[in-house]
Amino acid sequence: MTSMQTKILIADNDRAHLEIMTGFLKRKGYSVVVARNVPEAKRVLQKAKVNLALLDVRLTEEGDPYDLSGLTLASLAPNVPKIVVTKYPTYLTVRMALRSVGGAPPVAIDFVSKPQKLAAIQVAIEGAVANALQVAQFKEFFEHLQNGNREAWKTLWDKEAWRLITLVQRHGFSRTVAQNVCFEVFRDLALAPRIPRTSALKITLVNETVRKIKILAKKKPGKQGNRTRTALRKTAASPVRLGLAEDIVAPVINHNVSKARLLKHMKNAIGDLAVREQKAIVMHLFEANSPDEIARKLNLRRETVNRYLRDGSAHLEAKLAELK
Amino acid sequence: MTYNFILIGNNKGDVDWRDRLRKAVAPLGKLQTLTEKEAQAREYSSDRHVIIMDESGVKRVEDLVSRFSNQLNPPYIVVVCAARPSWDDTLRMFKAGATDYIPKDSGKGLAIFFKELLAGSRVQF
Repeated sequence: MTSMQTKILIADNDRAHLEIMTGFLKRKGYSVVVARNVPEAKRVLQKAKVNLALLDVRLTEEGDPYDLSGLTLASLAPNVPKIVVTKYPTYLTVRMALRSVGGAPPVAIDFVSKPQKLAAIQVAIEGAVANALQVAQFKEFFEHLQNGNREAWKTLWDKEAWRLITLVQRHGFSRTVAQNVCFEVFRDLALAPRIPRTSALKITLVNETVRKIKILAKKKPGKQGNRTRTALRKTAASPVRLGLAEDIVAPVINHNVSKARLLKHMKNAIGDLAVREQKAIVMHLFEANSPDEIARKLNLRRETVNRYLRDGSAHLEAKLAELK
Repeated sequence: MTYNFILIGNNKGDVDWRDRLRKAVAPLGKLQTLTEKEAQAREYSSDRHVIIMDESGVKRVEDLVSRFSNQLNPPYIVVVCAARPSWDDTLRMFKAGATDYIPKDSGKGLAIFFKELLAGSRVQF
């Protein structure tokens, strides 16, 4: 893939930066598509075949420190390599962008702060293009492996995936590239019509979903925060629809934490959702058919559960305050 | 499944944090402390290792992170801990190949952090 063939999406609500970047990248021979907000960027990521995306972190509200709409957007397009660009870099934004969770590849492949020179962005873009080339070479390598001995490949992945990653690394590729490629191939493999999904893939997808929900849950309340939450909620997949409700609290339950913490975690994880969805999650979580059953399983009074089911997150918050 | 946790850093400083860390990883495996020199000189087997680096006690953190995460087979889980993590240090560590970069002041969250990290790594490897 050369710069002539590389189509780059630049998503930024800062017009001046958008113009500078567009001009710079066009001069370097890249094809550029621009988006000024989340819906536009989402449309481009879904419809136009872009090879790389430069995403601003605060796409909705420039002055809102809790606006992470760019990162949420990035997590919605796993197939496109992304570089996160921001005028306000923080420890948390870098960690959210580059940290790999539960075996899934990181949300972004690089992170650039806006005050840095254009040359830094160019270096990041060239790195991403080179990375895409490596990915293409690896896919070829894996196809060869897969065609050679399909059964052996499946066993290898299911039981000893790390060996596979090591195998890739022995060909001189970095760990990040190896993981990214293995993940992509695994996903392709799992989505192939004749091969059933494996439990490992399910767990990976679950972890990824939980991570997205946690990003959502980190939003703080407030006038601007609420607006961001609403905007993000629209783009987030519903856990009820995905049937992943129990997985939201599984990490907490597995750690044998207290009831207070479980409730807090639930509030963080599902507090953003509509009351109807929260009810469905609570019912589903405890595999209960009635409030009585939930009350028994959570060791709460029946009235408490009824109130929660009626008033949703408002009551959960009150309960939390009580527990504190 | 138990892991070998190796803490690399200065033996003298931050005793409280070391104690907290030791308690946090106790249910998951044993913790061994090495200085930077000892860590570089040591031969590593293919056991399941989790490397924890105290940023303040290691001079060439990036080199060491890169060695553990990119050159050893299988690559180890490398967690770098810093007193005050800045965004540019975070970026450098992730680029070097660190699995995660966390503040030392994680309180009781350290135990949950490592449990979740290793649960994730089982999915991956």
